[in-house]
This record gives sequence, C-alpha cells and structure tokens, in this order.
Amino acid sequence: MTTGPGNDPRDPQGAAEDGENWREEERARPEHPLSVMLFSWMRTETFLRLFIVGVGVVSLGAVVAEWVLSLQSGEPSKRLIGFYGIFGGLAFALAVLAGWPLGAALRRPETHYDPPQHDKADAAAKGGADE
Amino acid sequence: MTQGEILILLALGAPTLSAVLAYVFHRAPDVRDTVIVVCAIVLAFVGWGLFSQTSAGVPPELMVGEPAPGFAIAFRLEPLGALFAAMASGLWALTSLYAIGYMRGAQEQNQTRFYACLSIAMVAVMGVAMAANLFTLFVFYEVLSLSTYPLVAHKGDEASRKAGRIYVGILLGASVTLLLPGLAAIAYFAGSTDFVDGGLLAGTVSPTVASILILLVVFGAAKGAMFPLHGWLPSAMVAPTPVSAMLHAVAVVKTGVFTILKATTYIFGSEVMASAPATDWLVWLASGVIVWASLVAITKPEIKARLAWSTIAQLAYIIGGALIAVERAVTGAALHMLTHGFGKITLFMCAGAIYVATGLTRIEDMRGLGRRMPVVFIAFLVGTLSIMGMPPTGGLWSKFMLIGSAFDAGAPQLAWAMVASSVLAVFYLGPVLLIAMFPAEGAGPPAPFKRAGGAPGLAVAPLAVTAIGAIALFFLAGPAAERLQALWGSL
Amino acid sequence: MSELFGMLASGTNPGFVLLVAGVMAALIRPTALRGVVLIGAPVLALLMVLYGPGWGVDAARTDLLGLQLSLYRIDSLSFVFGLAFVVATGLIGIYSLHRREPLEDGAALIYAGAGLAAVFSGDLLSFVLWMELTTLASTAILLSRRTAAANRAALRYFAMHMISGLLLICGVAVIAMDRGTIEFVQLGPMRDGLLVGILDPSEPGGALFLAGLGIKAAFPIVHAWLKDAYPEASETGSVALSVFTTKLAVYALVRCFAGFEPLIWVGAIMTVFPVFFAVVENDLRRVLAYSLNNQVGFMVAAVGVGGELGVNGAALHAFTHIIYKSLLFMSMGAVLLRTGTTKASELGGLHRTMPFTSIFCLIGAASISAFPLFSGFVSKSLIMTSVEYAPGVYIAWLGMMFASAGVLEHSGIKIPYFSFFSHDSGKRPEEAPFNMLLAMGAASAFCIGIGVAPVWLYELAPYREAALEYLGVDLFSAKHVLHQVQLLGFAIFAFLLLKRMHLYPPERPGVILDADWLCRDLGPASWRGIGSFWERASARRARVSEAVDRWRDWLVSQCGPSGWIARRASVSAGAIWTVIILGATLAVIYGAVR
Repeated sequence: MTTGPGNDPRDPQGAAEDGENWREEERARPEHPLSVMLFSWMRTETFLRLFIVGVGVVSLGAVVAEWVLSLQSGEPSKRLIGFYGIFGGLAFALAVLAGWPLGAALRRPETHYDPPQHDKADAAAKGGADE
Repeated sequence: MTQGEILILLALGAPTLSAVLAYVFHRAPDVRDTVIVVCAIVLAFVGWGLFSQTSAGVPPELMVGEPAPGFAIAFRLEPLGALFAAMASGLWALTSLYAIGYMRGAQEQNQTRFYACLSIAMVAVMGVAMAANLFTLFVFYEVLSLSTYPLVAHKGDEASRKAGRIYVGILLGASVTLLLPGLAAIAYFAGSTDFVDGGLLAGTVSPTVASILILLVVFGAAKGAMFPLHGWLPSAMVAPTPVSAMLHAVAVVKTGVFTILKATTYIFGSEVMASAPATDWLVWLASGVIVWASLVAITKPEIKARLAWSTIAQLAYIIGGALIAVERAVTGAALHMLTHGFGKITLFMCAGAIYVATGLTRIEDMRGLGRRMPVVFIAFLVGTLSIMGMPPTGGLWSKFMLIGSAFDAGAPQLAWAMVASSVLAVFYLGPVLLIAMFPAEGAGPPAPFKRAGGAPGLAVAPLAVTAIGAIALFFLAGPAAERLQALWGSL
Repeated sequence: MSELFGMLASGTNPGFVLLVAGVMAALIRPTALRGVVLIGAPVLALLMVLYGPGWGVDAARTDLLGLQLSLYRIDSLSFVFGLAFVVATGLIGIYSLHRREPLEDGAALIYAGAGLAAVFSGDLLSFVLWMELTTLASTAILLSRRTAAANRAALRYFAMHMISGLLLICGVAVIAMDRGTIEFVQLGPMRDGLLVGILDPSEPGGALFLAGLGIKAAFPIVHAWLKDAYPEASETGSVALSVFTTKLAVYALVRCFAGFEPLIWVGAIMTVFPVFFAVVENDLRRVLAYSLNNQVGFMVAAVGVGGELGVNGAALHAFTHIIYKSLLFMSMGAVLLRTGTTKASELGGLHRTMPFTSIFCLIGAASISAFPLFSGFVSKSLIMTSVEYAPGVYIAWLGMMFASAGVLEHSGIKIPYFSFFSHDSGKRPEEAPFNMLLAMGAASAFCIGIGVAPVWLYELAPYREAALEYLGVDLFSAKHVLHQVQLLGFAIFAFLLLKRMHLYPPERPGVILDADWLCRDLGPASWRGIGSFWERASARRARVSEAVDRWRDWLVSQCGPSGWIARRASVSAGAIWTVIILGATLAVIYGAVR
C-alpha cells in the first residue's frame, strides 16, 4: 500500500490541508538525541570496517576456544571443530543467494491477486463476492 | 375423551378454524389477522402439549376410522412426530406474525386466500406429524401439496403460475406414481401401514423388495427434494417470502424428510435398511447432492435461490441420517430438522425483510445495508452459523451427531460431504454478510429504502426470535436429544 | 473478600474473565475506560490462574449429549501456555491504548479469552468449541480493518479455519463414538506424570484431529493462510493474532501427539521453507508471519521428539516465542502506525527518529535468533538438544540448524536492518506513542530477563526436574555457548560480506507466490474454464429445449379445451381442477383396493 495524500492510513480523509507541507514538516524532524548518542557513529565507514573485523575475530575466537576446550577435556568432540560456524555461514549464504533465483521465479506484481478493476463500483461489488 | 385425544383434535381443529374464519372476516383485515395469530398461538400451545405428553410417556392417540382393510386413519404421537409437531406449530406462530408484517408491508393482493391456504397447510402438517400409519401420513401429505399450490402461485403472474405447475406436477406426480404404489405394496406385505417400533417390515421382506420399497418412498416423498426430484424447490422461490420461510424451510420440506425418516425408522427399521443394497446407493446419492447443491448455491446471484439450494443440501443431510437408521443417526437427523428449521427460517425471513424494505433480491446490490438494518443482518449471521454448524448455534450438535454416526456406520463419504458442504456454506452465505456489513470503501452508497422506515417491526421481530432460538438450541439440543433417545425403544 | 475470590478462582476458567471483558470492551466507547478493562482483565485472569485450583484437578465439569466435559483443568503443561497467554494479553492491552476501535479491542479480548479457556479445558470437545470461538474472534479482528483487501483475506482465513474446525469436530465425534469419552484423563496414559500424547494418530479420530491441528499450526502446504492473513490486520490486530491460534495448536499437539515421530520431519520442513520465502518477501510483517511459521516448526519438531526434553522444549519455546514475536510485531506495528507502510522497499533509516523502537526491535531480533543472554537461546537450546539426541533424525537436525541461520537472516537481521537502518529512505516519522513503547519495553524486559536468568522460566517447565537439570548442566555449558556464538558469528560475517560484495538481493515490491497459488490462481482459472464449457453446452441445450417448447405449444394449441384451461384459468381454478383430478385418481385406486 503506497502512501500519499488521500490514502495515508494516518489520514484517510485527507484532512491534512496541504499534503506537501505536512510531508516536508516531517522530513525536517531532527534526529532523536538517543539516536545521535547510540547510532550516529555507527554510520561511519570506519565503524563498519571495525565491525566486520570484530565479528570475524569473535567468530574465529569461538572456534579457537572450542578447540582449546576439546584439548583440555580430552574427549573427542562429536563434530568437526568449527562445524557450527562453517555450517552457519554457509547456510546463511545459501539462504540469501537463493533469494536471487527464487525472487525472479516467484515474484509477481503487487496487483497480481487484486480483483479485475473494470470500473470502481463493479470492482467493489465483485470484491466482496470474489475469492 | 382423553387429554391426548383432545389435543389431537385441537391440533387439527385450530388451523381449520383459522382458515374458515379468514374467509369469514375477509372484509375486516385487522380482525382476520388477529384471528390468525390467535389460532397460531393456540396451536403452538397444543404442539407443546403434545410434545410434553409424549415425553412424559403418555403419547396421545386417536383412531378415526378404517375406510379400507389395512388402510386406517389414525393418529399416534411418538418422539419424532411430537418434536416435528412442536417445532412446526411454534414456528407457525412466529411466521404468521412475520407474514402479517410482510404482506402488509409489501402490499400483496389476495391476502385472505393466502392466510386460509397457510392454515390448511398447517392442518396438513399437524396431520403428518401425528399420523399413526403411512396411509394417514400420505393423505395429509397430499393435502399439503394441494393447499400450498395457491401459495406458491400467489402472485398470479406467468412466472408464478409456471412455478406452481412445476411444484404441483413434481410433488403430486411423484407421490401418486411412486409413493402410493409403495404404500400399497407395504400394506400388501405387512397387512397394514402402521408405524411400529423396530420397523413394520422387519424380517418380512427380502433385501431386493426392501430396496424397491425404499426407493419408492425416498423418491416418492419428493418434498424431501432428493435429486432428481428437487427442481420444484428453486422454482417455488417466486412465492412471497413468508411462504418460502414457513413452508420451504419448515413445513413442506420437513414433511418430506419426516416422511422418509418415519418410514426408515418405523416401517423398515434399521436391520432392513442395513441389508438393502438401495441404502448404499442412496447414501452415495445423498452425499453427492450435499456437495453439488452447495456448489450450485455459490453460483446464484439471488439470495432466495441460494437459500433454496442450501436447503436441498441440508435436506440431504437429514435423508442421509435417515438412511443410516441407527438410533444416534436418527436422533441427529431429527435434531437437524429442528436446528435447520430455525436457522433456515431466520435466513428466509431476513431475505424477505430486505425485500420489503428495499425491493432488492440480488446479493451484490445489498452492499452496506448491514449498518441500516443491523438486527436483520445479525440474525442473518446467526442463521449462517447455524447452517455452517458452528457454535454457538444448535447446528453444531446435529452435525456432530450425524458426522459421528456416518463414520461409525461405515459411510465416511456422507461425513466428508457434510464437512465439504459446511465449508462451501462459508462461500455462499459469507459474501452476503461481507457485502452488507463490511463493504469495501468506495463501493457506492447502500440502496435507499423503498418503504419508509425500512422493514416493518412485525417482520423483524420474529426473525430475531428465531435467531435467538437457534442460539438457544446450542444449549437445549443436548436435553432435546436425550429426550429423543430415552424414549426410543429398540430400533 | 479473598475467600470469595478464592472460591471463584478455584472453579471458574480464567478465560471467562477475558471473554466478559471482551464484550465489555466492545461496548465501551471512552478510551480511558476501555483501557482499564484492557489491562485490568488480564491482571484479574492472572490472579485467577495463580490462585487457581491445584494442578491435575478437574475443577469444573458438565454433561452434554451424554458426554462428560471438563471445563477447567490446569496442569504443568497448560500452566505455561496459559501464563504466556495472559501476559501477552496484558501487553496487547497496553499496546492498544492509543486506538479508537472498541470492536477490535473487544474481538482481541474475546480471542484471548477463548484461547485461555481452551488451554485450560480438560476435554477435547470444550477445547474444540473454544477453538471455534477463536476462529470467529480472529476473523472479526481481520474484518475490523475495513479495507477491501483485509475483507477478502478475512474470508479466505475464515474458510481455512472453518475447514480446520470441521476436521477437529469430526475427529472428536469419531473419538467420542469409539472410546465413549473425550476427557484427557480418561483418554490417555500418563507419561512420567504428565498427560501428553493421549491420542493415536493411526486411528481415524486421531488422524482427523491431527489434520485439523495441522492447519491451525500451519503445517507445510496448508500454511498459506498464516502469511496471507496476519499482515492484513491493523498494527494491534497482528500482535493479537500472532499469539494465540498457532500456540493453541502447538499446545494441542503436545497434549495429544507428543512423541509422534513423523512430526519431527514435519517440523523440520516447517522450519526450512519459510526461510526462503522470508528472504524474498518485501512486506516485513509478512516476513514476520513466515518467521512465525518457522518458529512453530521448531516447536512441532520438539513435539515429535516427545519425552521430557521435547515437551519442555516445545512448551518453553512457545512461552518465549509469544513474548519475542509479539515484540517484533509490536515494533513493526509502530512503524506501520507512523509511516503507513511496512514494506522494506519503502523503509530504511528510521532509527534516526525512532530510536527506542529500533532498540526494542533489536532486542526482539536478538531473542529470536537465539543469541546467548536472550530468551530465545534459553528455549531453543532445549529443542535443538532434544532433536540432536533423538535417534535417526540427523537430517532433520541439520535442517533445523540451517533454519537457525535462516532465522538470523530474516528476523534477526532483515527486520531491524531494512526498517530502521540500511539506506536512508528519507522518512522521519515520530517515535511510537508512549503506550506502545511501554508495551515493547515490558516485552524486551522479559526477553532479557529470561535470557539472563532462565531459572524462573525453567521452574515453570512441564517436566520441572528435567528442565532444571538441563539448566544446571547443559544450557550455559561452554561448549554449547561457543557453538551458538560460532553459528551466529559466521552468519553475521556472511551477511556483512555479501552486503559488501553487493551479492545481497535488493528489496523489491511484489507478491510472492506460495502454496495459495493453488487456490487463488489455479482454482479460479479451472472454475472459469468449467464455466465457459458449461455455457457452450447450455447454449446447445437451450436450442434443443426451444424446439421442444415449440412442439409442445403446437400440441397444446391443437388440444382445444385443455389448452384453454392451462392458459386462461385463474390460480384458484387451477387448484380446484387439481383436486378434482387427484380425487378421481384416489377414487380409482380405492376402488381397485376394495
């Protein structure tokens, strides 16, 4: 459902006098101070690079820790060291990459299931009786 | 004169009097209508009295005469008949009120003939309910067909007369060519046509003969609208709605299935029914009708046509239960007569109220009416739930019993057909509610009222009462079923 | 006073409180007053549950149609579910305070009440009857949005649940006829002191019941209603819808079919396929619906495993899931309220002006992804362990592992990322209203609280000792935590990598075809095909009957007097003639018989 003056669910009657001004007013809303505090520095490129590195370090660290643990306890682990990690990463990648072919195959326009719109009254009357 | 005999005579006499007085007071419509209502209320009390007496174990009976050996005119109440009598008489009282409101509101012609024929029809229904043997039942069955012909063809235009011809043609034709010979044959084999606990013909006829007799009865009682003799029901919808409501939701169609139910229970009995091959074919036929009629209902744009086809499907439920003929199935079928009666009459009365108020008969024109006629559409919702068999209406219990018995008796196709039909009911009744109560925005305003003030109060109050009745049956169905089961001897 | 309350609480199903409150709420127009009901009712219900009758006791009975019904019976299994329902109802109440829709509030409370009553029923028939009421109430929630699309979705939803309800009723009818009873106590053996797995799915009654529950739990193929209907409700409606129906189905599955092994496979499939749909879906609330389907899959698999671990896993996961799924739906609802859309293609960068909502969403996302120290980890571990130790289901376990990574993808990352972070859509909506923030905050507190101190959740487990044992030994064992950290860490790393390499598929608007293609595309197309075929056949038939009619008219006109009667007589004359003819026939037959 796209929004715009007249069919905005917050303003179904289109009572806001001037759709344009209202939208602008909203666009002008300043960033919330909490957001500034917590998120503003996350938007920088530096942070993103550090984050990727950090995640990598933690993940590898967990694998290493698992290895160390298996050495200490002396009992062989049921699965490969790092199995969960590799599996998790590959599974994630598979799920995401499958999105390309699946999206192409299964995606249809948003109006695909809408009843045929011959004219408004007709469609509305049919809309109740259809499906 | 025992109390029972008095009740029986009153049951036949009150509506007869009502018919006579309708003509007497032809010129004074207010008096006439009051008389009708009073007689109807009296009959309702009588019906209740008959039911109480039967439940108390003292079934009223009355022997009138025996014009031919083996063919007697006699009355004797038993649980099924008592239930039918009470239901029909109670609903008649409500329908008379509704009819008065409708006929005046729509300014129909020939009202006296209408009320007189309606009353004679009630005599016939009571006669059928109280019949002690199949012959008596047959006589009153025919009286019912004849007295309702003027009601179906009431409007007098070409379409109505044609519908009337089809109506009488099928009903009389089937009863004379099928039911009557069947009756004669039963009398031949058993010496009488009495309704006997356990079945009159139990142990006396071979499965082949039984099959033929069963087929004659089921198709001969064309009021039960079993395919292919169902065509009269949709055509009869040209009649004014009180006719559709009363007769084709309660009296005429229920007489048909009642005939079949009494025959399978008291003439054939469960052993004969189980051994006859015709029973299996008929169960398959009933299952098919249930699904097919529901599918057809979805395709109809007119509300009364949908309700007519829905009735055909629901009657097949009852016939299916009758065919299985074990105690639980028959109780379920009888209960379904009751719950369907209340539910369907509510739906028909709603359709009539909408017609009187707006002149509309097509569902797609009824958008947005829900807000302007809230009572009517809430009652319609209750009726819909009853037909679907959803709580909190009594329809749930009757279906519950029928489905359970169907699985138990080795007829799962019947049970699945009932399940399918309930789902299809969502699609043929649901859109009415959807369009009326939740119209899509931008669909246009609701149609204006043709009659100032919408539907008359007298037309709206009865449907509210029957809707409440349908809900009450949710709680009362249990006690009703228990009464029915406790009173049946060996079946 | 407290004695009176005690008496009331010990014999009345707490669902009734919510039902009555629902009727009241639908009728009360002033929002403040309705708010009192919306919050007070769950509190009252909670007290009734806590001070209710002892566990395993039949506290209210009645007779119907020759069957004994047990209207109120708590045990350790139903207590967990009931508690979750009540808490969720309270959260929904707080969340709805900003709305002016008495009908919807009433419907939601009735829905909750029916759900609670169902959970605390002691026999199959009452359970099914309450389920039917939940169908009606949830359809009403959908209808109260009053758009054409919502109405159509409501009709489809209702039809699907009608089918489910009918299957359930059929099942109960058959069981009643077979066994002569429908009470849990009479039907099933106690397994380690708990009534679970009481029905046999190889019998027709049990099979029907399972089929009915399968639809309600969104088993594969029949799952489409979930993703179809839930996003069509209003922002508060979706939260309410997400809580009850599916978890009621899970409860019933535990009660009736715990230990039925095929359920492990069904559950595993249920966890896997929504992952793929959720990745490509654009509407974020629909993504949440798929996510719900996925999480219920975990519960179903645990039911299949059965035993102490499996039952504990299913029940506790249901508890935590109710809380964090409500939280996620609440955050998306806030976005819907403030921006008018939940489409990923139209959102992004909302954290700038909705930071609280963003944080709450992140907490919900962390919970569902089973990050250690959040609630999901605490319950999902039980499930994964139970499946891991079940014999012969290694592939199912792998599937569920895959799904765990998948959950991180669609719910852990996609939901918060594409709505609140990602690229800037330019939208600067106001922060959510205070009541919503309060509800979300409370849910978040639950998520973190349970995650950090799981002991009080484990105290509630159906098999308490087994659960506490697991808590002590396995849950926070280094090995276990490290495995989970690895899984999550590598998965997040994969996300970042794919994003960097521009291999992540972009969010695009559109509908995604799912199993409902069968009913919504194939079905109507076939129907139209049959219709046009029928029309052509009818045209041919009409020509034939026209010819017949002309012949008949000729015949009638040739037969003089009878033709005159048929065309000109009045209705009354027609009636008289018919009587005469019939009378003659009867006289003939009478004579013949004599």
